[in-house]
Amino acid sequence: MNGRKYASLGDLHLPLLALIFLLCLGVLVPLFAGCWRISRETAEKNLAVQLCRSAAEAYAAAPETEKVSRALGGDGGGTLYYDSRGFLCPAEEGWLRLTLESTEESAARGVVRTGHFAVWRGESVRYSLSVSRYVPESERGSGA
Amino acid sequence: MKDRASARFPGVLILFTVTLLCVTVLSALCVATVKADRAMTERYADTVKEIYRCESRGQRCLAEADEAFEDGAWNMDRLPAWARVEDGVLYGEIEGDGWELCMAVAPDGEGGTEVTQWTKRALWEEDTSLTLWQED
Repeated sequence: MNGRKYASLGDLHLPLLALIFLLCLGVLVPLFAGCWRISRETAEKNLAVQLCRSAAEAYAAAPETEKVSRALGGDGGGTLYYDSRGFLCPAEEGWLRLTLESTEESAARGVVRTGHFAVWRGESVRYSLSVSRYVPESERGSGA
Repeated sequence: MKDRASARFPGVLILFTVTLLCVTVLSALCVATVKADRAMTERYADTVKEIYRCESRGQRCLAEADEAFEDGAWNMDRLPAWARVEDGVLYGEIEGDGWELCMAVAPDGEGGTEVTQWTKRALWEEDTSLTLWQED
């Protein structure tokens, strides 16, 4: 009786295993693809935060976008391009784009400069950071 | 021949099932790790934003404090709402979302002001105190 049962299952086992394997593949491939995507986005965000932080620190030391750009290794322009490892690269090879902008509000004894830094991937912002710096009248002339 | 192959079937099935279970567990671990990593990155990104919001607030406070400083002394009428003056030194404690900013601004003796103490504290978790930086 048992032999018969196994015999019938034996006939089926290869297609059955293949079916289970394909089902698993159908579940696991999208799952791993999702993991890979999340992991990539996370790495991208981490890099974006690091770039914004570097820009913010440079801005805190010298609140002018040109100086920030030069401090980060750029040519003084308001846009810097980075590859996937976070190294500066030419625009056409850029994976992420860091934009530097600065606004100024007058205060009674000086100005409050605010640097706006955003990391872009294509047309979407991955991370942005703003930092303000008070520049007293006495320091404005020295280009602080 | 067929019977022998058929007799092996339960063994193959068990091996296959165990392998499948292992793959499932590893996949679950992989998903959990990746999601935890993402959550940590999001939290880190939010924390960094909050740190610079705190710093920016401090800079605006400095501008306000400077406004109240006239002829080497504090003009009490122009003192910001968050500030108090004790022994000629302006103190301020400003609370933000998860952080507290403490500052002390003193006359530098040359007609200007000097930030003599600049302390920031942030409590991101109930039991963890993270000191962002401290300058004395």
